[in-house]
Amino acid sequence: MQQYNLSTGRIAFLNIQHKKSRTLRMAALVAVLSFTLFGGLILTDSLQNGLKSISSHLGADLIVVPEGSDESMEGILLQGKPGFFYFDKSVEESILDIQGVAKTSAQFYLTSVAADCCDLPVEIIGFDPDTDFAIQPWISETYSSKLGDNELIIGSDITAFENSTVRLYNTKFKVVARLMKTGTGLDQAVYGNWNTLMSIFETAKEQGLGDIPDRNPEKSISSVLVKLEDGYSAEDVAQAISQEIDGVTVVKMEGMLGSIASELQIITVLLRMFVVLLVLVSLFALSVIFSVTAGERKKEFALLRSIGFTRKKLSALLLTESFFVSAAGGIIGVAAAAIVVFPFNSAIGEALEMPYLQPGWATVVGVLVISLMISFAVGPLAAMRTVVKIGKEETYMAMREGEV
Amino acid sequence: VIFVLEILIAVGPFTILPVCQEMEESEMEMSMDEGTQTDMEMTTGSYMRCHWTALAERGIGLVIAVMGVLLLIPASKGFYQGISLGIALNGAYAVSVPTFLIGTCANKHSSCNMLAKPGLIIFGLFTIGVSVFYILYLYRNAK
Repeated sequence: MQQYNLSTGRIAFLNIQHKKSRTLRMAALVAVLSFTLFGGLILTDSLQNGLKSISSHLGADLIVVPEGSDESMEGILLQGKPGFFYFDKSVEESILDIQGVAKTSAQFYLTSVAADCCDLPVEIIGFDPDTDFAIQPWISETYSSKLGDNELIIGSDITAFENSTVRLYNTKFKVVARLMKTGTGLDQAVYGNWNTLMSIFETAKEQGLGDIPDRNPEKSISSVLVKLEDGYSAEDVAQAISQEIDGVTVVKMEGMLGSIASELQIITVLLRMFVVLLVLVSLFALSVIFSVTAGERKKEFALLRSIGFTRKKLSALLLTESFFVSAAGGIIGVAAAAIVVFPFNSAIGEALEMPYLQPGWATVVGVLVISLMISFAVGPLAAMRTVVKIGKEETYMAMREGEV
Repeated sequence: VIFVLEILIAVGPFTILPVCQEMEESEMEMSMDEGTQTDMEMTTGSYMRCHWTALAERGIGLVIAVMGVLLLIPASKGFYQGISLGIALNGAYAVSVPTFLIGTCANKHSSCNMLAKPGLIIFGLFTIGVSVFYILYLYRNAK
């Protein structure tokens, strides 16, 4: 026969095990709270990370694109939606002449229709290594040499290995490096220098593959990245570019990031309000349940008092029970949230249509600890009122209650 | 629980956790006539890789669902343990199909990688967990 030391913890465990239905309902309430707390915090952290990442990796103050192509540009940058558009190369020189423009760098975009690396089309971004100030600093985080002709650097979400090859438009290109994850559309693109892009363009055109526009790549570019001189506002320079050059649209990075930041702010505020509301509702509901069940258990408490339980020990028993229920609910909720937010993070990012970069493990552990601490505390806090009430009751009165 | 999990494995890739849309052969021929090439024929001929994963999972899911129904038949504990072991092994099989036996498409942002693959792995792991728990429960009760 098994023997147990009948400690407070053991009695509390047996009590909640005995009342399975009540325990499950209370734990479910805490589970909903911890699910929302953990899932919500990871979600907002990931969005904030994505925003930080895009601000640090874009490097340009303005992006000038052909008129009406601003949405396609944002799609490429934020959601990895492949697209291409072109205007005349002379636009870059015209932009350089505008007051307040410090540097410009042109880019050329192509969309793959078939690739060894990818079952879906990817964006191929060509840049000029001599003028580029946006992509190369980012590339230098993982690749220190100069990118040669017919060499590609791939975004973190492209499936290919370093020093392997990828096939674009039936031509093989060497992959020299993989970029760090940014949580933006740039993770789904491949990068090459101007000559590599021209070669891909010509091959695609010769083979009649894909939707290649009838353009002379020597005279065309897709966008011009603009770095401003100190003291000039993006708004003023953007207005000057729009007025002086026909057929262009200026995408202001500050404006684009600002609108993402304000959307993020709304999501964060709503989520925090929801969590606070959920904590209050859980506290109230659990407090009512504890109070009602304590009323039903008066005789049990009186019996425990009569066999030597002090008031302090009785209070400890109730608090331990509430802690066990909270802990079970908290762990289940956090585990359920982890099953949703980590494996499905790409789907969540895609659904939100915003830069989404999952935080590092240190942050995840921090969020986990905070979520569990709050969830674990909810039960004992909700039980506090009942504990105080039980502690004040006389044994004799409790024993007599319900006899008549 | 096992029955529900296996129905999810069997029908999930065709419904709530969809794999990439398959390509009809007639559509493929049409696009070839137009002189364009699609991504799909480059990978496995007429279908993307995840299509075969979905078909395999449908078979595995249905087999485990039938085994789950067998657990409802009055029988000895040994029978239940044997069936549960079979379910656990099939659960491992369900996990291995999208991960390394057949795999999914190469693009991390394709539907099969964002939804079907993680879903199938989770359902497969749950199947293993529930079966192992049941085997241990039966073993403990038998003692």
